[in-house]
Amino acid sequence: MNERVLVIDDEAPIRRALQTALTGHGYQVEVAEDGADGLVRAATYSPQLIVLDLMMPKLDGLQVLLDLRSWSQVPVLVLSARGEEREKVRALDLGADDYLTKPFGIDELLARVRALLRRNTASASADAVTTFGDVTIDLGRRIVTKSGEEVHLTPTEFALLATFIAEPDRVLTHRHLLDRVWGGYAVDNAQQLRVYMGYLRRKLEDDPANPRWLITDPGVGYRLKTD
Amino acid sequence: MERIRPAQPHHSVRDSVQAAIHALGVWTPADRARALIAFGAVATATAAMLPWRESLGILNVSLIFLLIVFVVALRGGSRAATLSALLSFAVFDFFFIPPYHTFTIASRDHVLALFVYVGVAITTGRLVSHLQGRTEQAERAEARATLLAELNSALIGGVTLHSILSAIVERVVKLIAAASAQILVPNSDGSFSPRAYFPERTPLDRQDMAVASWVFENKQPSGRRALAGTAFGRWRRPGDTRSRALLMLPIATTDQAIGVLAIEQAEGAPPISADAERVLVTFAAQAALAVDRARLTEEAARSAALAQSDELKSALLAAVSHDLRTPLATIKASTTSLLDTSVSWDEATKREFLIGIDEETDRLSLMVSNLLDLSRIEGGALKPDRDWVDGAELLNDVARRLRNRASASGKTIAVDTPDESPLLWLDYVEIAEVLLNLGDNSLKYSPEGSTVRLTLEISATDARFSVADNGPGMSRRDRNRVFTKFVRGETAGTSIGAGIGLSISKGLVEAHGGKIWLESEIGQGTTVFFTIPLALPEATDRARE
Repeated sequence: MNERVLVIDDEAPIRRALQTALTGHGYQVEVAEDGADGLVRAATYSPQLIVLDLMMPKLDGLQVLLDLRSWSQVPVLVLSARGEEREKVRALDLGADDYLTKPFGIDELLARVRALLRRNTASASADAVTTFGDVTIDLGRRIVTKSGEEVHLTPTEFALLATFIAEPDRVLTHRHLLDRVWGGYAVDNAQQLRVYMGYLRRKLEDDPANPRWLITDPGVGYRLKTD
Repeated sequence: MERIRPAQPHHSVRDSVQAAIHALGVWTPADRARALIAFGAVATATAAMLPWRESLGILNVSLIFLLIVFVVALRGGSRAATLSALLSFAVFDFFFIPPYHTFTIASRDHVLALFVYVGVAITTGRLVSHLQGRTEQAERAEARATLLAELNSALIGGVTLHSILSAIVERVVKLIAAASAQILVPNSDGSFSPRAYFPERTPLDRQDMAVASWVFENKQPSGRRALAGTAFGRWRRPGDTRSRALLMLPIATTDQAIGVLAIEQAEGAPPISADAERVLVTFAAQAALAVDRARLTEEAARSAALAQSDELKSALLAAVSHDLRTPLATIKASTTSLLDTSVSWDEATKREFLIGIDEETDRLSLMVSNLLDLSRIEGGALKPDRDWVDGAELLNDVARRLRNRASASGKTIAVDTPDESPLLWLDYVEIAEVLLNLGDNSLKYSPEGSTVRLTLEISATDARFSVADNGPGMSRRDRNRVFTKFVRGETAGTSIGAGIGLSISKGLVEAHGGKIWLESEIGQGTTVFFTIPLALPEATDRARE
């Protein structure tokens, strides 16, 4: 707790609501009302997480992100609205770590904030064992079990799962996954990604048609939920 | 650019005399031919009559020469007629009036006869050739009128600006056998671009464009006539190997210039005649009126469309403000109750208020999405952003979102999906919106404790979704009307919100090439079905490119 969060949004009611909610959960919050001010505060306040609204007048969210990423790797959660799907994906490809579509529930916001901050502090070591539901993954020994029984995964399936384990609880875009697992973004590979997600779900989910852990973010990518 | 200039205006008598002599001396080949005809005719007649000069008599000879002059006048024009009259006068005197082979005249009667003859001959000759000229003029006028009428027929019937301009250029080319014609229209930056051309677009160089600009501003045709003949503005730049005759006419009404008609003469063809040029100038002026009319018609159609869309928008606004008021009213009521310090609510009641606020907010959010899509559907801008989607996953996602609302009022959502379902080629957000709209409606009319069922079935050709409830059902009349946009003046119980949500759904489904319909009986609940065609891989690959 006590992590520093910077909220950059041009709408005062949203800034107020986020500040109140986050402070209530023990975070320290700083606000900025436009992109330029946001960049200055990002440099001076040194937040551990930035919540950034995509659509702002003057310096818009994407430009802020570009500028920010040129000198900082701080996790960024972007806020977008219905109809801004393209911008959302662009933001993620340009370095944003996760997104939320307005209107959103505070519970969802807090879950994503937690996940992004956890990633920062957690050490991703090869000996780590990850668990979600009744599934356990030991990356180092390459063993996956479900309900105690070992599950056999093909190399590609394992690589895909490992990519999720490396960055749990946040959205991974199609492009990101294809880059990591298949080494490049090509049209036919997008189909492959879908197919392999299907395989993983069939092996690891209780109800593959109604996934609980390996979630689809339509139009954006996928995420692994671990809680 | 060289242009043939007209002669300078005359200033002195000496200049006039010089010009007259010059004109006399300028005999075109046609004139020479006619002179020859005159000579020939007179000579032939003389030769024919010579043997019989004794028996013919003065009267007959004079009549025959008169006939010759008449014929020459008909064919040769007044100059040749006069020439033949004078010639025949001389020949008459020399060969046919005693004493023969001299110019002297013996008898006084013969003098009278001869001079009467020459007078009559010259007069007749000029009269006939004048009449003939008039006839020719009348024929040319008729030809001009016919040409103009045929050009004008291009203007009738053309309703759109484009069709009129195309008709004009095509007609002009065909009727005067030009090489090509194009209509240049000014752009906002002052340059001109061709708006219509026939048969092909002939590129115009900068000088041509400069001339077009001049023609447009001054509303004058370009190109002048040479003194002798009817050659038109022949522009040749130094070094230009192809010589092209271009005639540019302004298409303008008295107050407004619309464009320039540029006609290119066919290579090697005879130059456009003076008559044709006059007709074209008249035509261009009439074309301007027709073009203006077409423009006004288009503007009128646009404002009519605008007026209609305005009407639709006001109806939409009315329906929307009605719809928004219900959730807003609930939210307002709940929040003000919670803020009311005079009552202390117990935790359960507080929670109820808050749940209500949360639900109504979701409903408002859906309405906003609906409105966004409605405006896109109206504007014809709705293009689904398709991707491969797992139908079962979509249905479960929607069910999850509906469940929050359902459980608060003791209703349940059930999902029925096939074990093996192929990936569907559709826009996730839009079809989810359709299902949310249908599900929300069903929840509204379902009695407490009942179940709303979401189903997906795959057939050979499409994916069929359905949303079924156990509500009151609909009469046949309502069933037929329910998909039409915001059905007004509803009977109690069917809010207009149902109208918008369903008509959006219809628009979104149909944008996917699917169909939507419902089955319902009073007292037996309602089921709404919609299909999304299963995509063929080739079609989708093509769509993705």
